[in-house]
Amino acid sequence: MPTNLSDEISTTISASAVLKGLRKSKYTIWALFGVVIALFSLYAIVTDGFELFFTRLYDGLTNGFIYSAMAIALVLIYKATGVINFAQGSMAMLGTFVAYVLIVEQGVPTLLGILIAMALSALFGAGIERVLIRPFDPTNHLPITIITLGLFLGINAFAGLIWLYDPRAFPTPFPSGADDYFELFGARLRYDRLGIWIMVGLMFVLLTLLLRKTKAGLAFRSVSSSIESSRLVGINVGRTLQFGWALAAAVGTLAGCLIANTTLLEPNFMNRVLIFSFAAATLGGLDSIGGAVVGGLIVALVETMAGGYIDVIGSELAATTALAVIVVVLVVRPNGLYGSKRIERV
Amino acid sequence: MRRTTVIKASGLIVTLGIIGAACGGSSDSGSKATTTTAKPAGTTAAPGTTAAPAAKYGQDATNKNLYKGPGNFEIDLSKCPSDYNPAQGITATEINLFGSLPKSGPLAGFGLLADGMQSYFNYVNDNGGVGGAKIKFEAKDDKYDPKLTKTNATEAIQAKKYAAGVTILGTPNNLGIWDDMNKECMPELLNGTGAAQWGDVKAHPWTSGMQIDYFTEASLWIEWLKTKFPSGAKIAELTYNNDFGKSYAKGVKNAVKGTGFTVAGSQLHEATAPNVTNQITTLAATGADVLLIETTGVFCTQAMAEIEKGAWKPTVVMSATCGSLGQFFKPLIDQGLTGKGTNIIQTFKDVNDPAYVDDGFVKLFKETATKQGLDPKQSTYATGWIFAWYMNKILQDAAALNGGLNRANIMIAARSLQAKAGNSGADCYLPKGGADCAMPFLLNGLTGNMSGFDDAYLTEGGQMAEYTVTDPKALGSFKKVGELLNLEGKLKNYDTVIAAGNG
Amino acid sequence: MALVTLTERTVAHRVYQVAAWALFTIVVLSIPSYAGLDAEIGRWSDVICYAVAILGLNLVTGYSGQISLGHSAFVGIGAYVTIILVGDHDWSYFTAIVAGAVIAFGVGLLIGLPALRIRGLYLAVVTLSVAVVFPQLVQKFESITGGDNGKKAAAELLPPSWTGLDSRNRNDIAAYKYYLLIGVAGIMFLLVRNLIRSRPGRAIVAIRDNQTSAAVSGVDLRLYKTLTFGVSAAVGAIAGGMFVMREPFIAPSQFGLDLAIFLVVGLVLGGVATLPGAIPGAIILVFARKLTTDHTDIIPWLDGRPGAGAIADVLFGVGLIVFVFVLPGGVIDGFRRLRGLIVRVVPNPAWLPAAAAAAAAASTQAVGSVEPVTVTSTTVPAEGT
Repeated sequence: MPTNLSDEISTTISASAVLKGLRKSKYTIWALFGVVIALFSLYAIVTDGFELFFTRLYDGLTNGFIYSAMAIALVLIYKATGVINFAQGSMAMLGTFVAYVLIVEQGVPTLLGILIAMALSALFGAGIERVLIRPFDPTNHLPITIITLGLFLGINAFAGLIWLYDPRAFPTPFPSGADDYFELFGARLRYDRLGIWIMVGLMFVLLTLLLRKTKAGLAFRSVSSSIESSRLVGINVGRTLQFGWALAAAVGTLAGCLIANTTLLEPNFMNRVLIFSFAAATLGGLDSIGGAVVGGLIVALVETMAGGYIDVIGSELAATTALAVIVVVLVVRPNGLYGSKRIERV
Repeated sequence: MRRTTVIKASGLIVTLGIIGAACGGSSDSGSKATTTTAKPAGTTAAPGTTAAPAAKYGQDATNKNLYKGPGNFEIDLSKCPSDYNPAQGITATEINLFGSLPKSGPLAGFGLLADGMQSYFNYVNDNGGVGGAKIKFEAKDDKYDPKLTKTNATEAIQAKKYAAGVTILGTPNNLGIWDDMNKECMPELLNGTGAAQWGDVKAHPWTSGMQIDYFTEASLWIEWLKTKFPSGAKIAELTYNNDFGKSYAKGVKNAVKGTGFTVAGSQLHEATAPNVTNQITTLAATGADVLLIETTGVFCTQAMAEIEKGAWKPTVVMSATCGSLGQFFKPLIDQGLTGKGTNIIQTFKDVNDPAYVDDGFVKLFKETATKQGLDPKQSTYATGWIFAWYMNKILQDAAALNGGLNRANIMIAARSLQAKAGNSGADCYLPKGGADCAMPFLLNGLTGNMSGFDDAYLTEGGQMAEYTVTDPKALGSFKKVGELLNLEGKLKNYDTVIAAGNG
Repeated sequence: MALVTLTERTVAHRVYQVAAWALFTIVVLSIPSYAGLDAEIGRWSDVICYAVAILGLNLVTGYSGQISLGHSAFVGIGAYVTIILVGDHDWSYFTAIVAGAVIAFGVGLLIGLPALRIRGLYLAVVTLSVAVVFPQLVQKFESITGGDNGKKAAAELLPPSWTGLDSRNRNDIAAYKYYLLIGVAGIMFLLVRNLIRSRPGRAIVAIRDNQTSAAVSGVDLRLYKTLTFGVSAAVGAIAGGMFVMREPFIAPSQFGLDLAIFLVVGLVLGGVATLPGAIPGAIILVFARKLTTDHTDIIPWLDGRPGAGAIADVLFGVGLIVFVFVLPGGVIDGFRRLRGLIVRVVPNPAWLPAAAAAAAAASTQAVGSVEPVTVTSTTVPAEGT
């Protein structure tokens, strides 16, 4: 097995060399990608027909938006604190359970229940930032990473203690019965899936507006690019970072509520998504919300299409392939597709 | 994230659903069972019958180190360590047992099994115990890490206070310790995994399993499919990418040899997969007639949902580990789906199945669990009761053998379990119940026999049942759709599996 | 102020050093006789194996500053190569372990290549992918690796007769393995210590502290960064081989992401960029997990509640957080501060030319003022005790 791994990496490297040469011309590379994708689609449609291609496309997009939703929350934390929050999935899971208790056990209307859970999660996230993160020097990532790992272990086990491990169905505001679909290009597109696409898209638009048009959002962007200069222009840095954590927790809970409908709700459900969301966020560039969405879609589509159409890869190596693609992209663009370059000074 | 990887190990989800693997409407007497009536072993009696049965097996009259059981099974204590104490862990007041299973970590859900076992042992202890001795069960936490299981077992062996290990969960976990357990002559009973290795009587006489193994279960699927598709059909498989899933795949591969059945598509999924949508889409494209769901846990529910939502409508056969109505079918109702039409091999009765509300053991379980403050709807507790019931029976049987209750006789008793199924009153299952009581929870008509080398597997039968729903807003129930299939004794022991090239 | 002040390179200082080392050695060597039972000795053997694995991770994460979440894979490669060679090809343990280290070195170099361009958390995610993929590859090549059910080697390390240990006594076997592992670990610590103090070692640290300035000073970034990954992987693989020596049975689930994460946890808890930190880090990993598992009944309302075992993880998680608050620099940092209250070692002015002493003082000050106070910079790598 080690040799196989090395093969994989070495192909990665040689591919990177090829791509590197092309990198100079931005348009050439996008055109190249476009051609490759078009050829692949043509091949796929010719071999297995329209219906299967579009079914897979919808599968891939749905998983892609699922990964994206969580990746957005990761990006918000990265922008605020410069770490990967390992507890992001656990916090989202907890929030989703809160929503579940409100909606299913207390009879609160679905959307209202999700909103209340988001608000509670935001409080929780702000509290974590204030109590556990702020005491540490923000440039020292390792202790903060260990804190998030501690939260990750603790929160998951805590949820297991309270709710045990049976899967539960999470209500969706969209119709989700067996016949709730319409056909588009010969393939079934289900309303609950379309709902996920729309909700994640909406989330992206609202977040972008929030960060670009509101005072708090502008302060957040300023702090995430430079703490020092933000402090100089009079921004309350602590409060702003707290805002980032609160926002990430709320977004995570919304993501959890959307995801739980297809993956089912149990204390570990977000952890199965988290790896792919890490990959998605990294691919897009850890500090770009738009990148997180694009990254999620690419990871999921590669997984679905490569696993579906390329026999050598199959279901067994689909996820591995998706991860390999990330390595290739990162070698070419070390800060992801849309990440900003950090300039270092001696 | 740490969880995701560990979950992958969860091949064994197995036990969770075992009880659920059953249910089903009628207890019709018409079901044909090819029961092998093995020799009337030491005890056909239910636990702790006052009248001691003809104690034919047990300690040899001349060679005090030799213990004999049915099916040429023998235990020779002279092969054990020099300081071996057959009575270790057994006193007039206490019988000490240990177990090892995940109580924390991602698979902590299995820890409930130990709580279920404790619940039945408490019940036994409150009602006289084993000849007055109380069963003391210590379940250690191993987080499903084979290394920790090994540490737990080594500590238990060295503590020199346990009579036996029981319900150690997981295939790699048991494989990691079975050499040690056998070297130390420590009984390793009722392994919580369905690997065929636990029938390796020759090399590992002190190890014994309990669950129907996945290889056999897959053979039962094909047996049933033959009646539904006499001229053969195309099969698609959704397989968990671990030993658990692959055991099913091997069983299918072996069973379709020389039949009209072909495997048209096979898709693996990782434990880390958020869902199995991609796999189902690819399998649907094969247009197969049959879908075999060789996975467990939340993935079963996901797969059923995908099939119900999609255009592809194959005959669905699913792992018995996903048979629990409350765990795996109920979430579908909340999604506006049902899961109807799914077929499952049943071996045990589901405590949540309305058809069994009057069953003696189901009643007893529910009453006792409620009294002890456990949720009777949690079928993992019921699974724990099955394990504990067998353990109690082994102890009660061993006490009646020549030489009385000791560790060698515990092993002899475990290798000579005899139980038929049938409905019985709750009083049957008092530890000192009547002599003609049947094995609890076991599907009517099935047997749970062991006989040394001749039969090293407890249950090898089941009946195909289809999940049917009348009210889409409520849980349905399983309706029997096939004959009772019983391969009891056919597999004999692990040598047969090796000979079939599927070891 | 310290209770005792020792001047460097005086007799008193020598005595102090020798006594400290002697105490440490005696404690380490006498563990089997105190631990007593095989399982307990085995736990300490685990500590040694984990310590070497953390040592390997420390090279790449602590000294070279590249966060690796994929070290479990290197440990796994070492373990699988060892068990395959020993179990299926009748190699001796020691040659097999070396072979494992060589293979892991190669794989480490390959994984180090992307690290030339990818940095920081981006690199962390790349290495994390390696950790995720490794157990899947073990499954994929079931015929050699034994797949999900794990792999076992029949050959077990038994004490030869000259040791005076009984090769049939479990405790003696465990003690023998413990001493063997101590020997291997001792060699690894020495090698790594020498590496860190050597010219390449200083180059690696220079790259961590500032890549650009290191390059300007003539350090070959490509060479050293990939080499660090390779060497670190080889050390990890040795740890993997040691796990097999300790117990010739392994399963893929042992070498997954949880191991990778726990190694990082052990590294940070012990102390980043400090060699001895690996030991307390490993002790915490092994014993804290056991402690939380054994004391799930400390919260009264949970006692007897079904599924209460999960409290172990809650306790462990809370424990991690509390620990980072109390000792953000790790155990070794705390230990040094504590020791500083009792013993203070001052440079011996007689042995140092005044000018050099002044220069040394100035440079220490300069370093202190330029760098922010972080775990990685407060501990000076060369002072490994």
